[in-house]
Amino acid sequence: MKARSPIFPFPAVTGQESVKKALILGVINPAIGGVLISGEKGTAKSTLVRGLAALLPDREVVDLPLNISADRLVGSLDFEYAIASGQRRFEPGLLQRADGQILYVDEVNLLNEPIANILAQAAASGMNVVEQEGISFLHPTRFVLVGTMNPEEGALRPQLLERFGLFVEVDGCREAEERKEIIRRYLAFEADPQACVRKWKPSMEELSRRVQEARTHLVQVEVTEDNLKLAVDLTAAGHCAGNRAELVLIEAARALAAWGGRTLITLKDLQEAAHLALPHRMRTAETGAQGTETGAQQRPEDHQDFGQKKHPEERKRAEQRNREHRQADDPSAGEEPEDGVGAKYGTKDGKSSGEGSGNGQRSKAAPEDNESSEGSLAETGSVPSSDEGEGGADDRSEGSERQGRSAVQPTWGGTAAERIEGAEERFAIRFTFPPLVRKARKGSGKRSRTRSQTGQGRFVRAARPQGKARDIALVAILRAAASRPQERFSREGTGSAVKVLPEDLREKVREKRIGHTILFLVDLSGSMGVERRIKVVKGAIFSLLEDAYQKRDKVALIAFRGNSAELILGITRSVERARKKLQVLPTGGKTPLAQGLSLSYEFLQAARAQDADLAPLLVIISDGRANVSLHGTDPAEEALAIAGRIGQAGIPAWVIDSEQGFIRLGLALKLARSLGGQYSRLEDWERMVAMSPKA
Amino acid sequence: MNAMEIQGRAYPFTALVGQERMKQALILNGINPGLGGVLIRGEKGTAKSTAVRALADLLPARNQVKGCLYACDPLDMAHLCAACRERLAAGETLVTESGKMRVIELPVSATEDRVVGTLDIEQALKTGTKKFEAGILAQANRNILYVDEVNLLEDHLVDLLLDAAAMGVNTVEREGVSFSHPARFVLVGTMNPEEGDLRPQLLDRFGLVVDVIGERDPVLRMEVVRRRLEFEQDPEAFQVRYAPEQEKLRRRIRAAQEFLPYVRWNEQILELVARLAIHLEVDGHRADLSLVKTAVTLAAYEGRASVSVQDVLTAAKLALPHRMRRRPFEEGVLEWAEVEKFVRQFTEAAEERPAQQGSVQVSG
Repeated sequence: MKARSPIFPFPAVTGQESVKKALILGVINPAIGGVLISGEKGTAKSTLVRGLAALLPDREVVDLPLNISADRLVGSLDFEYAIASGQRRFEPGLLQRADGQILYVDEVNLLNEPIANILAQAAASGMNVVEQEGISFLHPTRFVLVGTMNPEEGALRPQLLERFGLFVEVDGCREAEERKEIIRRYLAFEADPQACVRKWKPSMEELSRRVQEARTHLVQVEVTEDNLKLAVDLTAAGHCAGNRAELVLIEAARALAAWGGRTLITLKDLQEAAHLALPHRMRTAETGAQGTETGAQQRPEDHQDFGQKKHPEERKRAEQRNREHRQADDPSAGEEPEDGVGAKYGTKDGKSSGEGSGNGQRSKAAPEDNESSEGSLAETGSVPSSDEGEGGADDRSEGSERQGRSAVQPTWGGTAAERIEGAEERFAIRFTFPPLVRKARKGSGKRSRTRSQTGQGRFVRAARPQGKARDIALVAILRAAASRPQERFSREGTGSAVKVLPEDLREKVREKRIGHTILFLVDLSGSMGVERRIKVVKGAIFSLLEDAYQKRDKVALIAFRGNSAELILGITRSVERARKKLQVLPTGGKTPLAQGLSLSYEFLQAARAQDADLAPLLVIISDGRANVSLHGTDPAEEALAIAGRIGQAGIPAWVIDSEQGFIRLGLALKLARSLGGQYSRLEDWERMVAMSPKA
Repeated sequence: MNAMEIQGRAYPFTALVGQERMKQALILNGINPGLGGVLIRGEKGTAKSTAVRALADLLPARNQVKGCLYACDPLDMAHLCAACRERLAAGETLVTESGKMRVIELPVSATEDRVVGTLDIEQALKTGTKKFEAGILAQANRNILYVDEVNLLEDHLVDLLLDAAAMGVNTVEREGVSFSHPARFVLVGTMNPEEGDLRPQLLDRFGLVVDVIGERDPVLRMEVVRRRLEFEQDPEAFQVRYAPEQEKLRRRIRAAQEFLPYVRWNEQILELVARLAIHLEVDGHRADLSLVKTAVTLAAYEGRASVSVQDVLTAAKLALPHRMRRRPFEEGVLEWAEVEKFVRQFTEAAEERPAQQGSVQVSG
C-alpha cells in the first residue's frame, strides 16, 4: 500500500558530492551505521536519500514518518487476527520491515523522545524486543539508518546522534552556473518526470553497477595493523569519545577502498573517512564539549593533526564568503584576526545555541565553563531506556546537578564563545540560561510531556487510565480485549465484534512540548541608568531572548522604575516584539522592587490559573536596592517577603545581579535566597565579554 | 460534503477592494498549483480569509477519477492513489468526472488523528477489522489546504504538515494502521505577525508571501464597507451583480492554465535568477525555482509567450521576502531597492553583450 511517485534521479542532483559519497558508502558497508545529513532547507537532502533506493535493486527505503506511534514502530498484537481467530499473533512493525533495508527519517531532530529512544536502541543492538499484551517477540532489525535534518529547528538528541556512522553537512551552492543547472534539471523533471528518469537511466545503471561491485568487493578489503594504528591516532586527535569512532572510521575506510576497487586501505581512505565519521563525535581538548547542540559544526580540519585539508580553493572561497557575510552585518568585522576559526564556524548560522561550538574564545571561557563539560558526561552514558520520564529535552541536566547542588551559586551558561553580530547591544559572548536554571524550569514546573486532557499533542503510547479515561485509545483497548483469554461470545445482537471489559480500558498518552513561559522583570531605575550599564543589561536580555527563541519559550516583560512597575509586554511567542519593546524603554528614578515582584507574582499566578500546563520562570535583572515602599514599611523587607511568597508558590526564579563597584550590599543575593532561586552576577559575564578578542 | 470544506455564500473574489498583490498571489497559485502556495501576513481585518475562501469559486473544473477519495488525476499515473492503481492493475478503466478544486480548511485546533487520518473506529468495533479513515491531508490532495492563523498551529501539527508537504505523500504509521496516500496540495496560510513567528522550515514551504495592510485611502475604505454591507443585506443579488466579472476572471485563469506549458524563458532570465539568489544569499535553492516558476506563471497570466525581466522582478516581490537569510532576531527584510538596483545593473550589462538565445520549455 505504498503510493509511489517518480523519484528525481540520484546522479541528476548537481553538486553535493560529499552527501552522495556518504550515502553510497553507507549502503556499500552497512556496518558503518548509516548517515546523517544536516543542512539548510532546500538543498536536495531528501531528494538524494529517495534517489538512493533506485540505485539498489535489492533494497528499499523504508520511511519512518514523524507521526509514528510506538506500536507501529516495534510491532504489537494483531487485534484483527485475534478477534477473528481467538489467537494471539504478532503484527510486525516498521522495525521488522526495515530489517535489511534503508530506514529513512526526514527531520530526524523532530522525532519525539520515546520514538527516538526506541530507534537508538534498535540501531545499537540490531534487535527488536517486544514484550507487551501477553506477547513476547524478538527479531533482528539491521538497517542502514539515514536521517536528514535542518539544524535551525533544533539539535538532535545525543543518543541518536551517536548512532549515525557518518555525518555530512550540506549547503546551497554559490556558483551561478551550477545554480542555473539545478533550476534547469529540476524544472525539466517537474515538467516530465518520466522523461527525466529515462534520460538519466544510463548513468543510474552505471552507478548502480559500481555500487554492486563495491558491495561484493568489500569482504576482500583487508585491515592492516598500520590502518588500525592510524585510525586510533586520528580519533585521538579529534578527541572522540568511546571506541565506536575508530570502528566506524575503519569501516568507512574499507568501504572507500572497496569503492575504489582496492583491497588495501590507503592513508587517503582513512583521511577521507575521518572527515565523514568524526565531525559529530569530536570534542575539543579544552572543554570536552561536543558539537551536538549545534549539529556538529566543527570539522576535522580544525585540528591540524588531520593531514588532509579542505581543497585550498574551496577553503578560500568559504572564508571569503564568510568575511563578506560578516562585513555585511558588522562594520567592525574587518578587525577580525585572520586565524579566526571561531568566526568561521561559530557564526555560521548564528542559531547554534552556543554550547560546544565554541572555538574563538574557547580557551578564555573554559575556566568558568560548567556546562560544556557536563555535556560529555551525559553523552557517554548508555542509551536511556525507552520509557524514562525526564531528560531528553535537556540531556545535560543530569550532569549539572551533580556539579552543583546548592541552590545559590553562580552558574554561567554564557560560556560558549559565540560572536553575536547585528544590533549594537550584542556582545561577543552569548548569555544563555545556565543548566541549573533550566533544570529548575523543568523540574518544578510541569514536565514537557504531559498527559493531555484536551486530546492535543502527539500520541505516543497507550496506558491504563488514571481516573476517568477521556482520550481513549481504541486500538489498545481492542488489543487488550482480544489478548484476554476470552470465551467466544455471540456476536449477534451486540453489534460488536469483541467483548470489552472495564479492565481493557486504555487511554492515549500524548506528548505535548511545552515551552516555558519566561517573565523578565527588569530594573530600569536610576542606579541602572548609566548608559553603558543599561546596554550591558539589555545585551544580556537579548541573549537570553535568543536562547528562549530556540527553545520555543514564550516571553513576557515587566519593568519597574520611579514609583511603579508596569507590564510592558504580555505573554507572546514573538520574541522579536519583546526585543523591540525593550529597545525603547527609558531608565531613571527610584527602585520599586517590591512593586515589580508583586506584579510579577500576580501576573504569573493568573497565567497559571489560565493554563494548567504553563511552566513559568521568573528572571530578575536588578541590583536589589529596593527604595520605594509598597505598604509603608521597609522597602527591602517588603521585597524579600514577596520573594518568599513567589518561592513558596513554586515559581522558579533566577536573579541576575547587576550590582557593581567597590561597595557591595549583596542585596540581590539575599533576594535570590528568599526566592529559593538561582543567582548570577552580570559582572562575571561582562568580564568574559571584556576578555573576548572583540570587546 | 465535509464540514471542513468551505461552502455557502462566498463573497465574490472580484468584489474585493484593493489588496492587489494578495489577489495576484492567489490567482497565480490557482493557475499553477506547482508554485507552492502563499502565506498572507497582515493585521486583523484585512480580508485575508475572505480572499482565500473566495478563491475557490474562481478555480476552473478539472478531471478527476470518479468516486476516488483523493480526487486522483486519471492522466497522472505517477501520482495515483493505491486504490486507483489497483483498479488499473485489475484491468478496470478509471471513470473520469469533472470536479472543482476545493479549499480544505485545517483548523488550528485540529487533532493529529484528524490531520493524518487514523483507524476507522466504527469498523474496528463492529467487525474487528482494520480500515484507514482518511483525514484532512487526504481531502487536501489536489486541492488548496488552508490554515488560518498558521503561526498558532501546534508544533507537532506543523511537523506532520512538513512531512507531507515535502514528498506530496502522507505516510501514516499509527495505532495499528499502516497506510500511505498522495497528499499534494497548495498550502495557503494566513497569519497576524503580532501573534508570533512562523517556524522557518514551514515558512520556506510557502512558495510566495504577501504582506497586507489595511487600505489607508478613505475613498477605498468607504467602498470596502459599502460592498460589505450590500453583501450582507442580500448576498444573492450581490453575487449576481459580480457574476460577469467572476466569469471573466475565471476564463482568464483557465486560459492562462492552458497557455502555461508554452511559456518560454531564455538563458538571460536563468542567469538573472541565479545571480540574484547568490547576491541576496538566500537559503537553499527553493527561492530560485520559485522565482522562475512564478515569473513563468505571470507571463502566462498576461498572455505573453516569453518571460521578461519585469516578470522576474514582480516574482521577486512575491517569492523572496521570506527567503532572505535571517538570524532569529532580525527580520529578513528584503531590501527592495537593492533588488531593483541589481536587476538594473544586470540588464544594462546584458545589453552590452549580445544575449544568448536559448529557449527551454517549462511548465508547472
